[in-house]
Amino acid sequence: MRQFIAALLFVAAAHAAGDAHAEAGEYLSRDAFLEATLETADPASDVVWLDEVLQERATEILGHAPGMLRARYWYSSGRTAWVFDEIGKERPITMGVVIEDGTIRDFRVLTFRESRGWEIRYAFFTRQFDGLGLDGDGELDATIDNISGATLSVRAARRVANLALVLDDVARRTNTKIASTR
Amino acid sequence: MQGRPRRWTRRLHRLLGLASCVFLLLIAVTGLALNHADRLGLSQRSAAAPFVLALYGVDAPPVDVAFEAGGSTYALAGGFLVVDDRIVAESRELLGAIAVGRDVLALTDEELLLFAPGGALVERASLSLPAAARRLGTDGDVAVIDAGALLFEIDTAAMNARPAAESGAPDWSIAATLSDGQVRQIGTAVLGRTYNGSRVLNDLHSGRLFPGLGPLIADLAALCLVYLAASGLYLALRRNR
Repeated sequence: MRQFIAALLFVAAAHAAGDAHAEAGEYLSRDAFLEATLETADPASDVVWLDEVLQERATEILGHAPGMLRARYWYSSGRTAWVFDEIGKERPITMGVVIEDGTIRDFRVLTFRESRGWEIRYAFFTRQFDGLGLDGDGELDATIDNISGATLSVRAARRVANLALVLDDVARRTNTKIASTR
Repeated sequence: MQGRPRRWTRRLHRLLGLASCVFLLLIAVTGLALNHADRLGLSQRSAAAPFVLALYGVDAPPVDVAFEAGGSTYALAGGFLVVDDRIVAESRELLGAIAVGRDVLALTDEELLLFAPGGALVERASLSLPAAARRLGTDGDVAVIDAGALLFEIDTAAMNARPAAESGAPDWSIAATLSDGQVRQIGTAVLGRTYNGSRVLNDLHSGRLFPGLGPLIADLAALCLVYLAASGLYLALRRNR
């Protein structure tokens, strides 16, 4: 009887561990994300160079140096799409942000690699970003609700959304073609 | 007769209080730091000092492959792409690194990475080629990827690859042999990611940093605290009676 209970517990633990692991992974490729959100398979792309001022602003938002000298974006139909990797606790989470008229139109988690916090991939969380823009201080103009047990992933998502909005503002000022794709 | 157990309880309370104050301080300070680990950026800080690694009894991971280009070393170790002594990306395979003009291109099984002189990352991009990339090289001034029967030209401005029209005889990037010092430097960088401030403080908090005796001492300290709480309550109640 005791052995049976031990076996049962082992199977249950293994099942739970397997489930948790299965939640991490690539949910959407970059190309599929761009096609779904920009409604074209071959969107134009350009880059925003992170000069000293933007490096400082990005460091302020992310809490660490951005680790790149230029950020690529894709654009179509008056929207820009950005894909960033940001570490939640220990491993990078790949997230995509689509912006139109200075507000977020779509936020997606493309790849999640950490062992905890994958709940941020679900629509109940990501739709909180819809319609968000920047306030006067250059930060998100609304709060994002936390998810218990996924605090670091939630914070990473907030940082990426904020950075994308800041860079979108720069991109629109330097690339007039974005507006003309509308 | 009733004074004797109370006297012993008080003496033991004082003795254990003194003995456990060091552990109490350690647990309190590490606990406070762990509670604010994110704000303190502990996960991003390397704690791979030689004495810490000696306590864990770990060796640096071997360098799987390395290339030298543009005055920097591009190496794959422990699942990371390391440039000189900085981790740049997670990677399973490093296929090559070559100088293109003043910049350097590195190719992994998943990504193309462009570096500025000095090894600063300019941009990284995932490539979707119809066949698996095998190696990276240059054909004149153009960077090319060998994907078996197909050859691709890389546009570093757009960070994409298109089929090469015609090819001469590309110079393929060749793996470098590193000195012991370089291997050590790369290994320390990789260990710094795993053995970061958060992990080491957590292990110090629980006693796991000192294998064998550590958890036992942590358990004893915890039992001391339980006794101190119980005896303190007992003594307070007796005094009020």
